[in-house]
Amino acid sequence: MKISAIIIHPKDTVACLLHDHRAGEAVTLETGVSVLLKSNIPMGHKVALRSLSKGTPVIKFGAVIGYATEDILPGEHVHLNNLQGGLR
Amino acid sequence: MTVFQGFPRLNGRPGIRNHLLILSICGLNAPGAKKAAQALTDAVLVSSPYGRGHVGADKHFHFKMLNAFATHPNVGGVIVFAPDDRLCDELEQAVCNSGRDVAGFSLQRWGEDGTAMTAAATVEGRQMLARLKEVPRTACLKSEILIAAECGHSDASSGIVANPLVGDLFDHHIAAGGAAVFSETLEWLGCEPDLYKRCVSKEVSSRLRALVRARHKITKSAGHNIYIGNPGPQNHEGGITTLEEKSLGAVSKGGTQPISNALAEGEPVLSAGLHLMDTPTLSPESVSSMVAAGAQIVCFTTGHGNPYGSGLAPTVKLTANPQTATRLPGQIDFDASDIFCGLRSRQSVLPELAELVKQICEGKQTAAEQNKEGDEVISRLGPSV
Repeated sequence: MKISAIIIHPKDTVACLLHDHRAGEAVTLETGVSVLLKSNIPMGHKVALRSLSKGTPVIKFGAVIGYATEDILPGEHVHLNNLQGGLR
Repeated sequence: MTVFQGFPRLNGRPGIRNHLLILSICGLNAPGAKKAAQALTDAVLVSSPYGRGHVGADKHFHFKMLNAFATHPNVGGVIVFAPDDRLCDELEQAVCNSGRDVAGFSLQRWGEDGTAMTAAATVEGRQMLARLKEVPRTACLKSEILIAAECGHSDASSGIVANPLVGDLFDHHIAAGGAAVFSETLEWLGCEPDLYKRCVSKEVSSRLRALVRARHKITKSAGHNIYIGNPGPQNHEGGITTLEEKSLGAVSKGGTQPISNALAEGEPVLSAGLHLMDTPTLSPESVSSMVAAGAQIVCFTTGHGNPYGSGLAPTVKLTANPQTATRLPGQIDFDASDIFCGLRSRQSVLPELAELVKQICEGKQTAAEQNKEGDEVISRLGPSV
């Protein structure tokens, strides 16, 4: 089975896309689960695997990479517009 | 099996090579040593461009590093190029005590005739090379191998695939009783708290904190703010949003095991488990410091490609970027792009990487070895006087 996104660590709440995707496409994960994309997401970028309400820690590499700055739905692009680091 | 065919040493870790090292300990000797190394193509040259006017901690560090290279596990014999008898004798004695073949040449002894000295050293080196080549490999413990990890010229594929894959290798090696080390303090920015939590004891965590603090102090006192513009636009384009995320991608090459010790730059790794070393970020400085600590092999991940390898420790170049693997077949030792293309899992590729590492430990040459592009450098901790 060819997968189109990687979950780096089992605890992660986001997956990383292995190539560019368009809104409406489904990404296939190693677990067999597929997630329908709500927006265009480029290669290397993150897609939410579950609902992340505002203020929730976002997990990648099994660790906190920052916090959701607004409610994020599964299939949404997680990037500068809705994720902020915890530093400073 | 838990053994590999290597070169046992009198003290410390076994070698995975039996190199002749041409060690020039002072810039005054550098041109002569370079000439000798050109004549002895199978020898490894380590040459310091400095060696006079070091003071304090910088002086101590310089000679500690030279000593570490001279008695590195992968070194079978050493030709020392020195400016004077005292330094020459000191190093010769250290190498001799380690049970290795050694011949020292000092300009003082040769009446400052560098040309005649280089010619004599080359003759001696040729004989030593012949002796070293005759030494057979014998069974050594795999758990005695210290693997170092480095990343350079990374891209999106590095943090997602190549670094976590090396992390898997670290976990696998440490679970089998081995030792591993990674470094580059300023690449831990923002995920230091995670690292402190992973330390095996309070002592180790305080040591790590002190090393991180000291490195940040150097940066700050130079008027540099490493947080501004970090991650940069290129990182953002590649999909990295936060600084923690960028750092976690770099740190993922260290795997998930507890951190058993925190080391100063070049400090020897004396036990099994995962070690963290405080070093500068430039690969030559970072890798050389881990090699001085005793690393016999280096796993070096790259996104866009990076030609650098250690001179003493075979450097396995790994990429998960399919374009890089195709574009640089003479540089890449391990192509992990099947994972990045979604065709295979990290788990299914790991045994192949572990097998390649074993083959390299048993003599298979890396691309950097074939290209003869290895080197070692010594960081400066302060200005000369």
